[in-house]
Amino acid sequence: MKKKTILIVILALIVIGGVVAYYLWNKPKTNAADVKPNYVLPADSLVSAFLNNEEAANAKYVKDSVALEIEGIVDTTYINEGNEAVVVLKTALESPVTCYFIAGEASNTKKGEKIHMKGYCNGYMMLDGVQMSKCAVVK
Amino acid sequence: MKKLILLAVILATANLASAQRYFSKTAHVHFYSHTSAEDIKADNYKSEIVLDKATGAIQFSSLIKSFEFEKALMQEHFNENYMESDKFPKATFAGKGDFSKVDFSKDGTYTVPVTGKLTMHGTTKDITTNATFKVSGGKINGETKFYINPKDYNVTIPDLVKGQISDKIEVTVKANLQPLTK
Repeated sequence: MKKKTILIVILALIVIGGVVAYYLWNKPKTNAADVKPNYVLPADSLVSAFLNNEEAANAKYVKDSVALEIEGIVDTTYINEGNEAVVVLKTALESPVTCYFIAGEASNTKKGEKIHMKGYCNGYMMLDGVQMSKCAVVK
Repeated sequence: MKKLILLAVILATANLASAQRYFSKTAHVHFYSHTSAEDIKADNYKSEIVLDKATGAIQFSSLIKSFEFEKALMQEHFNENYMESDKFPKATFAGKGDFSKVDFSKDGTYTVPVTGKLTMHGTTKDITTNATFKVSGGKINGETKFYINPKDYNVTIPDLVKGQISDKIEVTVKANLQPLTK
């Protein structure tokens, strides 16, 4: 009787472990819509932080554990070759903030619109400016 | 003497005017790791290149977190365990190509030898490859392929998954180049 119980417990653990592993492996990419932002700031402030000191800005903003909410005005929108919706937020500086959505998700924004965008900062590029990923427009 | 200075200025300006720079901010970097256990691939469609045809200088950069994998978990492992992208967010290539035989205004396929330094994960290594430029109807498409070994860039792969990650990762770069006018 006791042996049987142990066997059942072991079997159950194996099954649970398998199910957990399966879900972890197949977990979908999730955007930043439901994440509480660590920083809320205008697009200009974010870009100027990188222009002033890229290393310091990297250390502060480019982290998996740090989500941002950026206020800005939509300059252009398009879908890139990777099927990612792209929203470029204009700044008064030499480069913009370029926000990328998870492939297949729609941005539902239009040029000239003032929006708040949540996402994660990937770092700074010369032409794209600050690249943001897993973006979601704050409703 | 004044004439000489004037001549130098004219020559310098002429040189500047003929300097042709091209760029792309939607360059595509694809990598592919093949082993008998598993094939792993990732894409970054938001890499940047600026090349100066006159001097041959090539500047390329990709953000590590901008590489997209099919599986969210794989992408997490790539960023956290292997590339440590919080610490090393950017990969760059700075090099030179021999564009002497290339005419971007004429249709054709040109092969350009490229050498330079690839920096990622805080480590810099020399890279030598050939890039192909296809010019057709005013469009310029550049493409190159090379192989990297994660070990060369101090990327530690745990014994447990050693069989799943190749030591010869194929990197393909494609860029649709446009003249840079500023």
